[in-house]
Amino acid sequence: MTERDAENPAKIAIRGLEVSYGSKRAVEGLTLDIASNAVTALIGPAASGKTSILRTINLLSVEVDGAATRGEICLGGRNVLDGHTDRAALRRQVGMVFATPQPLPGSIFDNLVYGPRLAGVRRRADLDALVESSLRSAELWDEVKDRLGRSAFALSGGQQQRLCIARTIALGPEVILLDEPCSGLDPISTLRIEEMMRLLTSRFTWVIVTNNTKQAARVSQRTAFLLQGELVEEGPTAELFTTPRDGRTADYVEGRFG
Amino acid sequence: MRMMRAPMRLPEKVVGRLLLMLASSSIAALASIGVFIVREGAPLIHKIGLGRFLSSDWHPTSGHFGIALMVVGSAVVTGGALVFGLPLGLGCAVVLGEMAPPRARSILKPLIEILAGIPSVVYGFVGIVVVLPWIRRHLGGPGASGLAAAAILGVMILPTITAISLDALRAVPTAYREGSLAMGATRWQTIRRVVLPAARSGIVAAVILAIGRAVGETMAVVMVAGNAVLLPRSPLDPVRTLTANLALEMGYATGDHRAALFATAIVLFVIIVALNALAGLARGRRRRRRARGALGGWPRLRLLTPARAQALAFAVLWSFMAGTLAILVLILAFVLGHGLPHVTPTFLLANPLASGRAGGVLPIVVGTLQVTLLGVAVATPLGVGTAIYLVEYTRGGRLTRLIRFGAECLAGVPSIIFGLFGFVLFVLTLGLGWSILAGGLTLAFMTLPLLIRTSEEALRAVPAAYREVSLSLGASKWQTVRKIVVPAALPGIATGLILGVGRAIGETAALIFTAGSSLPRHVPRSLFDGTRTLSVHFYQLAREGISIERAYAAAAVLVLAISAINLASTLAMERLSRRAA
Repeated sequence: MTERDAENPAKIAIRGLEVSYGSKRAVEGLTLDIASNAVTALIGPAASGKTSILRTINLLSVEVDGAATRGEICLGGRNVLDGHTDRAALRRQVGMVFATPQPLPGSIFDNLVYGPRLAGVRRRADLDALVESSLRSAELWDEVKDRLGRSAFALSGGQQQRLCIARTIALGPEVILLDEPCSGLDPISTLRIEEMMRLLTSRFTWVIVTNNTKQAARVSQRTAFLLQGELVEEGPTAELFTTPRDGRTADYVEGRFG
Repeated sequence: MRMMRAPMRLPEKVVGRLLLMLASSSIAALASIGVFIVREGAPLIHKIGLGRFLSSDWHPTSGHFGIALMVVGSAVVTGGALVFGLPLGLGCAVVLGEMAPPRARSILKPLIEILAGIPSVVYGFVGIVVVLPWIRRHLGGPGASGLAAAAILGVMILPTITAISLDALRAVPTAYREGSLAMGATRWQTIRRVVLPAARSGIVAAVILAIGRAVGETMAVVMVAGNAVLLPRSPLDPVRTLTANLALEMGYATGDHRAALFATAIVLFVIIVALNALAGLARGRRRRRRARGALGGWPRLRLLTPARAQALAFAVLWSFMAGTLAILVLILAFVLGHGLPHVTPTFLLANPLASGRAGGVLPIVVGTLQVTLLGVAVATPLGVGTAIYLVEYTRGGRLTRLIRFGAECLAGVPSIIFGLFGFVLFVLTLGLGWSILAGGLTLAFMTLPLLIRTSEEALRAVPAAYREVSLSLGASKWQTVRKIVVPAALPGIATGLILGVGRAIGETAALIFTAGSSLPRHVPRSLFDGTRTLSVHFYQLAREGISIERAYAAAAVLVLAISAINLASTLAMERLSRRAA
């Protein structure tokens, strides 16, 4: 493909992916490369399959929603759909942030060390360092450094969502999946999260599902447009929004449907 | 690459298997109860033939074992109980679900639950000292009668009807009510034309389960029904129910007579399982029917304006609630008023003397606590494990439905049948004798379904998002359950344990034949010692008229203990809901 792709190789290679729930097919034969250390946005109207794709990359759809899959999702040369994947290890490698900020019951500190502790980090000094660095990454450290022992539910919605992102960063992931991470937030909190993503873009491979095409245009380098479980087109975000190849893409990004 | 091949796979599978084993316990319990009573009772039915077994000739000493009159007795008493209990119970449910403001509801609902917690022996006792004399004086006859039993049972099944109907009313979508009100209906018209029809199958299930409870009730009925094996010709005639027959004759029956009692238990068991299956069907229909509209035809002729009709209906319903509360206050005031003066340090801390006429109840209280704690301690891992399996490890397949049906049937099995089962299995077959161990194990079977249900509700109340977040942070399923789901559900699970303790403390029929009924001289020294529990002691004092003062005192201790336990569980539940909010 383009020279840009050569210097920025695919982190996740999706080949012929099908996802179905019982008799309902949500994703049909999707093939898509997700660029390393960049933000890729998945956009499309309801029932386009974008959330199913996201939840299948870390096998949550298979475990929680009872999804059946075919095809391949290759991550670092391994197919995560081969049925032998260690899910816990996969999810440390591929973190996820959900649509509504969802702290776990417990303190801010408890939330941040939950994943690392499960991964076997025991020393207090290591945990403290991890907490500080991940909170700094998520631009939350200054706001909460004096009250790490307080309940995470006491934070505002925007802070809670940044806590959830910090919690994911604390896992030391390579990929971060975001499922409409700003859908419940006010515009200012949304901007703070987008700003944070811009600062961290090169550290992780990001995949963001969003219903807000403007957000996709603001934060992502590449965008994939999906419709009814199929990929319509994928490309550099600037190109896809200004000179889409497919008429349906043009209609969607210009707000004529969906 | 950090992605490795599944080291966690094996433990996860082992955990799933272990939980499945725990979850099978309710089915296993139900099946073993069935097997044991059938093994003891079926040969007799075969020997004398079904026709003679269903005849009206019950003279066990001369070898006649016809149970027809007892079947009639059970049916009459149950029907009568519905006449009293259904309007009151349903009225209270409508008041709680549709009419009372939230604050009033949060006070009224726990009060109705206290009614559910009062031990059946206490109901029987109140029957003896209040209801029977009243009937004798105002209606004539011997007092002990089908009417007395029906009235007492009516109050006893009322909380069941209220609780399950209330669940059904809550399940009706708010949009139905708003839609109806928006079209100009009054609140009463909305309740009558929209809410009640939409909740109908749940209410039917409530009635069916209440029938099961009435058919299975033993101690209270024994105390007030008169127990003569006759065909009742008026409500004032004494009757004997199937369960009363078991309680009265099991103590001394041998040979064919004992087998005939087990055969009676088979009949009861079949009735209860059938009623539970029916209730399950009724509830299942609700789901399928919800899509269809529930609106009935509107009446052409109106005697009252809608506003007046509402005022009238609300007045009637509130008076049902007030009547129910009056009954509760009456029972509590009566028992505590007469009993508390006799609850002295000596009564609580001394050994009993002269069959309980003098001295105290210390060994009885200690024995009761041991039996109760043993029962709950055995049932807790089984109940919580079953609930975890049902909620976290299955997706509602056939197996789940079977396990849940087993638990529901077990919940409906009359305690006298648990008593017979425990007697045969623990006391005789396993050779434990009348002992704390045998009584505790029997109680474990009895409290298991309660623990399953409350734990299941508590686990389901944990937001699904917690599980997804935990999994997404690299936790295995079992780690998620252990570190997130169970801790979040702990207040609800604790509520179940507390209710289980309350149920166990008040239990009588299941313990007479398992823990024993002879009066202990000293505090039990081992789990193999027999003990008389406080409820059993109270029953003996009241029924044999040994000491009415001490009976009052024992009743006061029982009621206080159980009310305290209920209050504790309500508080635990409130903490849970406050934390969830």
